[in-house]
Amino acid sequence: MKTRRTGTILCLMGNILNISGFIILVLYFNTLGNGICINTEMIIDSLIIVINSSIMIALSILFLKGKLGKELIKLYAISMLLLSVTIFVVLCILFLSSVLCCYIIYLIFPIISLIGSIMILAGKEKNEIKENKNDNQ
Amino acid sequence: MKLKKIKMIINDNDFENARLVIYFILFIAFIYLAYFSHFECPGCPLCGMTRALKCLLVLDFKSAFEFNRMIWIFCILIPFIIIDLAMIIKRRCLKNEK
Repeated sequence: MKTRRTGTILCLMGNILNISGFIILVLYFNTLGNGICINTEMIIDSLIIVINSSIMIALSILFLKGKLGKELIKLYAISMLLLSVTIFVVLCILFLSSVLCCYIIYLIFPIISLIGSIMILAGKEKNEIKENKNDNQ
Repeated sequence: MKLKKIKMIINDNDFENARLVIYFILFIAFIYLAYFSHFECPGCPLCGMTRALKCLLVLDFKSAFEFNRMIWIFCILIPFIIIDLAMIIKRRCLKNEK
């Protein structure tokens, strides 16, 4: 349970950093006219990233508040992993389409959330840990 | 009451672990960006940040600000991270002593 909580906090922090950084960088700095023009691909990708990370933030807040039932935890872990993988892939595509330093820096935050989601998936529940201890004894 | 809640969250063991993981990833990413990544950027707001960070780590503030003006973010972040790490280590040492 503890690793799941740590993973959820990692996901939460990674996504908050991702959203705030991405909004500041792509939508604010590009409009100032630093030599980078916004194309439709960039807008669609940033929209996907913002929506995905806001869903992840909402899910992780629900988990931390304890409003997710035990039956839903596996579904929650899988959905977190899928969402973080999609964010990572979209950012990779964005980076490859326009090779800018800023996008390689923003690849760090999806990696943080990816590690968090793997921790959630790998985390064990209290009952499972007790069963393992009993088996060992 | 709010301060107590914030302290509780900061001192939480899971939150500490999460912060340690994030600092570790950021450290590895900085090393990779500074020494192993070589690509040409057409010009973005973060260009020159690695050179500026290198100057900042040697406490050469003037050339750091010449490379990139947004380095002030790291001027606040780096001391904050160092203080936080020191606090975490101190807390862990105290726990081990008990």
